[in-house]
Amino acid sequence: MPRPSVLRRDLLKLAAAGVVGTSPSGWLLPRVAHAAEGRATRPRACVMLHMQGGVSQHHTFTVPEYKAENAQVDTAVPGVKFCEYFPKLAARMSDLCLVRGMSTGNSVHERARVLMHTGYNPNGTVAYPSVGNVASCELGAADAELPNFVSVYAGADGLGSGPPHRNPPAYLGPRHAPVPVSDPAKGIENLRTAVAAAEFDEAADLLAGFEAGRAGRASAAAAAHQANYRKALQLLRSDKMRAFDLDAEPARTRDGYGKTQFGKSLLLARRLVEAGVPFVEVTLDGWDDHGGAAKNIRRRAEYLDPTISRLLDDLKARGLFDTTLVVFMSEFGRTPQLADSGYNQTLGAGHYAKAWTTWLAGCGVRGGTVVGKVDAKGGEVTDRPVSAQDFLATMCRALGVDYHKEYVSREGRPMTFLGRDAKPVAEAF
Amino acid sequence: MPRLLTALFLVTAPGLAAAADAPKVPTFEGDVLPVLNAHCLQCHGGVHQRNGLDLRTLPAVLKGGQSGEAVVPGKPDDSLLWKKLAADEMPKTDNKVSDANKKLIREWIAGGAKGVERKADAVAAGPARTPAEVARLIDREVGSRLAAAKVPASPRADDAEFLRRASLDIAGRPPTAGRAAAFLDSKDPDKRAKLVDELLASPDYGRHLGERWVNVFYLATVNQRPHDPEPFKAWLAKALNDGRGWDAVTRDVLTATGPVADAPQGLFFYYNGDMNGQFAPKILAGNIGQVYLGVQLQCAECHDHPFADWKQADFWGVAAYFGQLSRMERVENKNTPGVSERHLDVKPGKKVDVPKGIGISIPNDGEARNGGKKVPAAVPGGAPVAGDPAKSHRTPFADWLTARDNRTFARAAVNRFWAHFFGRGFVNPLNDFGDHNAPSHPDLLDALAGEFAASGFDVRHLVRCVCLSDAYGRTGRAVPGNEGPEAEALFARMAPKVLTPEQLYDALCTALEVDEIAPPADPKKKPNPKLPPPPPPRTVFAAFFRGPGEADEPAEMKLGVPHALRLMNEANFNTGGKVVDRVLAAAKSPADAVDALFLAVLSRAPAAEERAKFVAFVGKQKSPRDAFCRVVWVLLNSSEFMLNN
Repeated sequence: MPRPSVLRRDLLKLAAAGVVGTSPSGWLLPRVAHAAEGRATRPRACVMLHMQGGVSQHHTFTVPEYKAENAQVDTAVPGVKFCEYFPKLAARMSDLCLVRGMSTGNSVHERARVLMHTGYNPNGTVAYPSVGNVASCELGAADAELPNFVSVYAGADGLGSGPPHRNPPAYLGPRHAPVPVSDPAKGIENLRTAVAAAEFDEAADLLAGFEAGRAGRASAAAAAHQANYRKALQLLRSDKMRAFDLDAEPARTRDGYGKTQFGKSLLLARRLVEAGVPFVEVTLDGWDDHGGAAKNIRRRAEYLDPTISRLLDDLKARGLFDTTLVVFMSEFGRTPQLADSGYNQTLGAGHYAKAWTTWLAGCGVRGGTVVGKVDAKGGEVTDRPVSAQDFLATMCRALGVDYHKEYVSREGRPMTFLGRDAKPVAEAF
Repeated sequence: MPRLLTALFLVTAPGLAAAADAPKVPTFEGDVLPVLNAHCLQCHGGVHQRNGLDLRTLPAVLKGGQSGEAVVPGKPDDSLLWKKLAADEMPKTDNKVSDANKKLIREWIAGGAKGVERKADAVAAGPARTPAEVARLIDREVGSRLAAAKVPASPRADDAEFLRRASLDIAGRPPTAGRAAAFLDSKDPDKRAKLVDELLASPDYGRHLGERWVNVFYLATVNQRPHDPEPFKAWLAKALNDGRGWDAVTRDVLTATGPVADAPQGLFFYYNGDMNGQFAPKILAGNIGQVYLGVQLQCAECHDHPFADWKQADFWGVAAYFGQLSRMERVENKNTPGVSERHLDVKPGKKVDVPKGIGISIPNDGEARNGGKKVPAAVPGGAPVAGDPAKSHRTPFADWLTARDNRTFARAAVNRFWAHFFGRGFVNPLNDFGDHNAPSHPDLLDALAGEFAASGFDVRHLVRCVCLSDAYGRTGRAVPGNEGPEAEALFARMAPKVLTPEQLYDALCTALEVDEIAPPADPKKKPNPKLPPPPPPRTVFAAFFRGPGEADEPAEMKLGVPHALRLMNEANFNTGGKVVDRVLAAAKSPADAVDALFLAVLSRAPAAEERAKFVAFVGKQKSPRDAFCRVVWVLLNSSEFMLNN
């Protein structure tokens, strides 16, 4: 390793103890202030709502001025309006930081998905980790019984655009790969042993002994294999796995999140965060609304609006909101209605990465904030464009993750999660 | 873990340190270029050449810039490069050169400003030698590097280790229990060479190597919905099993024309398409550079390569050969995937505008420099080559690439084949040849490249040469002094390789003695007759065990908890397949059964201690059948099974 880097957590501890006065980059202070007030006692966590396929900003949180298909609804913040489909979230705008100037430059599903998760367009030579892998590495305890990164698939409501993003951990190593949940009602796949517990344990002990007897064959690959199995066994035997059991939740709460797979995914996410999982990604596919977004989003909003609102309320009620970042994002937005947009004449029918919208809430993010402006047609960012790297840097800042920390790739190359130019959106804090 | 090993190694193996202490004249590529790269090339490299000075190559350094000679060999004090660095006048940034590196540059100039000299020439010198002769050459070269570094080599692998390794490397799957027993029992002193011949003669040889090569392209594709690679794999498998030369195979791939139903190698162009699946000359140029030339040509797409001697014209010159291609189904408006080349299938009587030579325009998209400029087709570093418009434009390029005297092609291919067997090449990453990244065994690389060309690019010959060497036949077990990863780079012992998902699937089938392993069906899901049938279980399995866009890297375990859980808990791996029934019927004692199961799953006999533990375990279980299923489960889930040791 070229130079030692102090873990961010350690820095925080030092800062809290008054050892480190200021951070070189200057953004350590607000978090430390929180800690001093005794609010940031829990480790931080993130629920990232990945709306796969490309969310139409025009039918959600940034309705264009010139020709709205939909009526707008006033939010809790004067002057800020949402699409009428989202009245409940509108009432919670004072908790959200809306980023209206997302300008990310890639409008091809899989590639844009990589960009929005890693900060880089795939280039075929270097692989980069996702924000979830980095959070697993920086926020998760190495010996945690539960996985440090869980990726929940909430299904596809509409035209699917591929399997959920896999988040390969790249140079961070397989222990920071997400554990996928393809159905929140079922939990982690293949978790049930094929034989009775006692029989299984006996065989597992034999396996452990067999591996130990092969110590003369130690290699990095064998060690990684053994670590995977240790982790898998730990998971399989852990009492904490109850966090995956939605039935353990009172019926009233379950009803509050609704019967949809998305609602169940959010309830699972909340339970996991509560149990100490630092990063949960929930993917809802189906947003690739080439036939026009209006009708589809109206349908989805019927459950999205109440369940996401419910999640925010629930986090607050449980004292988790100040330490849990909730992010609503996608791989890109949808086309404005431009004269030359060819077959994508309907508002929101095509892919559009030049001007779209995301939001963040919780974990010290300043609520009631709108960052960036778009022109009347919603086609250009007129103020405060935000790149994929800036967006991820903003997430990292909220989570207290140093995105410039140096790691070393297997080839010995020094790597940082984000590039030198990445800057968090300061207005969000 | 790797860092720990490094630390251990430094303590226990003084050999390398001693070798480093030996007096040695610094070379441009090995010592000076890394320093220049870190401090100087930003302004004196491919992107900028301030004051006309280019410091990327030794000839360019000796040529100097507008201020005259930069280096006077043997006379540091007369050399501008030294004066500027010594006085910290350069670099102008705060990123000054350290005293140690300054000393190194001074020594390099004083020593005559030498570059690395390469003894052997990769051009095929004479007729191909026998595999045994080449194997001896390999061992001489590997041995001399080990001796210089004072790192001991591990001893010869035992028969079982060699058998499983060679079977997985050549045929892609471990031996059956029957084959393993026959090999281990055989007293034939020549049995290893005969095994290699037998594996090379089996259809699995072409199937495995063909699949690995197609996956190099297939896994790198940026297209969202790539075509099924199986026909391409089958085509390459047949070509390899038929013993066609690697030059001819490569020519056929690069010049493929017509429907992929007739010429499946045309799928190569689909895997080098853009995100929408359109054939993309610039992606082709980049990937051909990486795979067939082993260089990062794509770094010169927008401007000259920042630190290697590749010009923007080299990149676009290669791209130009592929500028006339389109997808057949788009051109002819039929549902026939294929490769169509403009000006190729000229209909009689129809007039076409035939250009003089071939060229391509650098896109004027504001990203690349010189946008809009037309670049003539040219081989890298070479003169423009006018193609015959009546023929495939790609032919002159393919002819140049695969010519026997093109060392670049042979070296890049040998490096990849070597890495197939050893888990790492002489040059790593495999696609990054250049002065900045010297090979670990330059003479051996050149000699093997020459041999490969002399043999008519006979892949079987190359495999024989490699597999008969002592270096390949060594055990993976470390001996004192070669525990560290550095010893792997010297080939002091065999580095373990993680099985590819396809190898893992085939190994599981072989061990369980079943033809296929179908994922458990979801009873709630009814098959929809309107949908196309699901892909074969092997494809589905591989897709679970390898994420999209993930390339295979033998040294790296990429599997995680979900994969471990599946192998642990899926019914297929708990019910013993057919092997348990066979062993149940034949075994005379628990020890007998344990031996048979070890042989079936791991291709070896258990060590005495292992046997004792497993027999004790079997004795405690409810029924022999359950016990044997558990034993198979333990062995399948071991790191030994998951790795090719």
